[in-house]
Amino acid sequence: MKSLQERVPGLMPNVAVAFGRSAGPFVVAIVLALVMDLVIAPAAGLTWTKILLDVGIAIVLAGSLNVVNGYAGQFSLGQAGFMLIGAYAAAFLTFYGSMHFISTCPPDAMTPGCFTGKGPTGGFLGSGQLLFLAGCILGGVIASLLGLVVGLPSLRLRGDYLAIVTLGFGEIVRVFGQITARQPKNVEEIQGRSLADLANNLGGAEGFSQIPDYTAAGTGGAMFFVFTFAFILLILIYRLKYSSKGRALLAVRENEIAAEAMGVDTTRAKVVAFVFSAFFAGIGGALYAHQVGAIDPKELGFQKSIDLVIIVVIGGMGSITGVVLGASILVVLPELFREFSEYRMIVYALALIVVMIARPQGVMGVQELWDLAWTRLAWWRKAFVNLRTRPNALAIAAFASSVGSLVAYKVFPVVGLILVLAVGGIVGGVFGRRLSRKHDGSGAGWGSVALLLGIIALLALVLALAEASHAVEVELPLGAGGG
Amino acid sequence: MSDLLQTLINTLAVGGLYALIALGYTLVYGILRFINFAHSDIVAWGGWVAFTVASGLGFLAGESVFAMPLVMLLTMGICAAMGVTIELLAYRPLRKAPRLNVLITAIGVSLLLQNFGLLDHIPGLSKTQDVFPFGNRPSTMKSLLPNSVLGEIGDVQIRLYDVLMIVLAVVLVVALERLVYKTKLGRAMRAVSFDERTAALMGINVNMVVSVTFAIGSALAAAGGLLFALRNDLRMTADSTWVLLGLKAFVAAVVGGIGNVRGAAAGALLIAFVEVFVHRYVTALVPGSTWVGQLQDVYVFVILIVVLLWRPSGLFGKSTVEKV
Amino acid sequence: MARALFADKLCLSFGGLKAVSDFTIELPSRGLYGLIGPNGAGKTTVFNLLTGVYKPDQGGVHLGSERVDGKKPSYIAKAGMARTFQNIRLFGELSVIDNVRTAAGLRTRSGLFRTLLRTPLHVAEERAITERCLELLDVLEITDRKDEQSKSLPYGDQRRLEIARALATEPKVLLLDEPVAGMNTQEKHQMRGLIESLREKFDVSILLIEHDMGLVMDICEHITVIDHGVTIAKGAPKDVQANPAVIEAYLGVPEDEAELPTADVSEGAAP
Repeated sequence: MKSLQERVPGLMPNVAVAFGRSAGPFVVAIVLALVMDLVIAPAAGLTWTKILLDVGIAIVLAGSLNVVNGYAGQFSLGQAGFMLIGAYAAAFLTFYGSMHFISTCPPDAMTPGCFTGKGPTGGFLGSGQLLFLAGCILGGVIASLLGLVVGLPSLRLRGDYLAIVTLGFGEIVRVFGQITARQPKNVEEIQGRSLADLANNLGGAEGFSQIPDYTAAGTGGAMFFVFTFAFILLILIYRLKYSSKGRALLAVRENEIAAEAMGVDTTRAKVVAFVFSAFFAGIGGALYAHQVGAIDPKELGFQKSIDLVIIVVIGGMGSITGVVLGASILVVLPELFREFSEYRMIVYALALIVVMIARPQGVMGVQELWDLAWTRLAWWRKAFVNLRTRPNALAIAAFASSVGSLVAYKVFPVVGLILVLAVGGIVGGVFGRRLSRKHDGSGAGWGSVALLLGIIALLALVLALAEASHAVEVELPLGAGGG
Repeated sequence: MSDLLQTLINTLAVGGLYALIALGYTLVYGILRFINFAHSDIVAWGGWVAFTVASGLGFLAGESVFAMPLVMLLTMGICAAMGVTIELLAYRPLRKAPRLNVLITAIGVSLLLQNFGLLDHIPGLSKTQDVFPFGNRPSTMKSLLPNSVLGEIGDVQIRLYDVLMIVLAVVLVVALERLVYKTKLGRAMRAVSFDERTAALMGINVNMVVSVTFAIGSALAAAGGLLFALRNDLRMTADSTWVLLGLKAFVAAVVGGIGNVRGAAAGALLIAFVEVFVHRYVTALVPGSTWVGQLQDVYVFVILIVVLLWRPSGLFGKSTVEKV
Repeated sequence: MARALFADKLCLSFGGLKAVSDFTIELPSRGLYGLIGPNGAGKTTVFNLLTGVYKPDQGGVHLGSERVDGKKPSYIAKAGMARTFQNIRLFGELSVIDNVRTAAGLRTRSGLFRTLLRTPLHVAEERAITERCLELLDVLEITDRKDEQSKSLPYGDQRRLEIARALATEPKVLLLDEPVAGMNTQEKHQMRGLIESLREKFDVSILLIEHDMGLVMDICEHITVIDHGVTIAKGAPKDVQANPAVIEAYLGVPEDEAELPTADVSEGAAP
């Protein structure tokens, strides 16, 4: 039989065509990001723009984490550490750097705010935004270098130990952030010192503040930057997954010894995944810092890593669809149900436990939306005809009742609502578990939907109880605008 | 010289505390091969449950000789029950699952305990702030144990607290050692830790062994939490103090050889030694090094990483070989 | 002399237990050799030694002209030695074809950047991988299940998949660990012809561990017998069959499980 390399020359595609197919998605991504920035952001209003920006940043962070935790199956709890590094690097450049490289401020108005104030300096892709871009890339590069340093020794460790070590790494970064020197805010002082000299002035325990708001809601270009990076990441992790390199990672996750025996250098594969993930975590951190406007090392510690892990685990470790779904839901829900923020982590914690027991692969598992049987017409034809798919009908009932609950919440009395919710939650959970045991596509699809909505129903149940106790007045800020 | 002695006593006391908590980690890991992430939260709850019990019984107001032992026993009992329940609900269903899944579940349990303890009240019930949940403000329990000095050697004070801690730790470690190596239950525990399936085939009730292990570990953790809270503020359940405490104890267990009782005690002493002595002498010797104290959080991770990379089975542990 | 694989007095101990003693084998190009012995004799351990899972305490492993003992399994796979596993180690969640494609990825030259940028070389290599893997599935006769999750395959097909996967790495030496275990007579018969044909089709030498004596005696040119890690006989099948030490090693096994190398179980003519 012909070897692989013997076949390659005969299968080479036309270079121009290949280039077009490769560049195409990126071009489309940039266009989409522009549309989001110029059309959707103004239409959605500030509140929803902020929510969307949060979703985009979460996609970058969780999507890259998915490469390590999902594809390679290595449990990293230190994503926030890389975020923090990227955040510091980028903010350093945009704050201090702006005073060294950009001189658009009149000498008699030399405040930091003049350099870093609202709106990009120099307009769209002007010097300010370019500096910001450079900052993001710098953040990614430094984070990935650290990823290499940390990953090389650690990725040889077994699952739970790797988790603790990466957790430790995240905490070490946080602590180092807290012992840096104070951040000078005086423009003359900053301009008087070289950048190298300022390297340790990252704010210490007080944090680094007055960061220019390039990615904050309301700033022109914010959506563009965030979603360009988000789309790029999604494209890259798609390409990774459907390639030899990606399959090698999945193989490492499935059966490391067999992967090694088939020629996959497992340590190297894990390290590459880790470095890739760190790079985008650094970028995510940079985006985050410029949205919030300040870096507080205590905010980007273990808790943040856990938030990201939750998205990946519940969404589905190894699924791009899962990460997008997870990021969207786990960012949007807390915003909608803001008054219940004290219960947020409790619900997440319960969700984590329930998912691990009932459906450990998460909502999507390793599958993508297009892998699910119910996205195909043939499945629908069968479902309505075949009586054996009755569990699916119940799953549909769970779906309907859960959605119905959230809507009805506003209208019906609480007691009736609780009943509907409980039914939806239980049915969704139970049948989600049952269906997930099937190996063909039909089970996986509805089980995921049912379970996911079971979780939402649970959330709504907590909400209903709270209202019943008259402890909180509920207002669902579902309207656009506001904020 | 007296300074050295004081430092030594501190080391023993701190080591005792870490040992109490480390034992829980090591026992659970020995039996189930997983790191119980939620263990440090049992420590936290130990402190708070003790506080709740003590204030409920009116012990915080006045002094009573019975206060301390009673509160401790009740706390240990309650937390033991908690540990058993957690195992039953969250870990037992995953007994056959990959270890990673249980780890994630443990993280979930940890988050649950932390955040549940933060609540001011349970939704739907009337404000029950005095008893449960614990709220998000620190509290104090210092009055439970008189801060009395038992004796003095030169300039060194031998406080009741230190003595209690050391004695308790020693007693419990020795008792546990005897339990694991000299009783039938202990043999059963060791059998399960070697090969769960075979142990079951030999007639050992694996579920019972696991429950007992969790009960013991949680009780010890609770005692540790209570003792810790006597000396320091009782911080809220999600405070990093508890996480750090648990982490140090965990590292102690790993350094000593996880799964090994003696190892946990030895590791605890070693970690305490490093912490106390480094803090005491390095900060004094190196000028301008206030940041050394701040690095306290970090050094324990460094030790862990070094140990895992260089000698993963710890001082007393043994490595396992996977069959290909 | 065209020696595909040469193992030279390999020794391995686990603690105080000597698992393998002075194991030597010379596998010629396109040879089909057998390795047999009672259960627990150390056969899989020998495979593990050859493929780098264990590092030998003494002795060497030579693949072609290169010495490979002490190297990582992935290095040895790249050098040209592939294996299947006694306990079947498939990538369960992946589809059948993806299992094979993963192994085929060994022979690509594109790195991460080319992959992410979808350069022409990468595209061509991925196409070549798919093409070759489909052909491999065809040879192993499991093409109709190519998109199914590999863990849902019937046992016999899983073993075939393992072989297809190993072949995807383009090995010069193929180690098969109990390839027909658990199969019925008809399946074994099919596998027999298949294994023999692999040498010609893929220009590969094969070393085979098996308990089915009929198959071993029938298709192997040379057999090594080990017991408790020690080589107790070596040679052509008929010599090994008659060797008293070999017969003794197999005695004590219950009658119904006895696969004493005596009766002529083979149906066709000897190779």
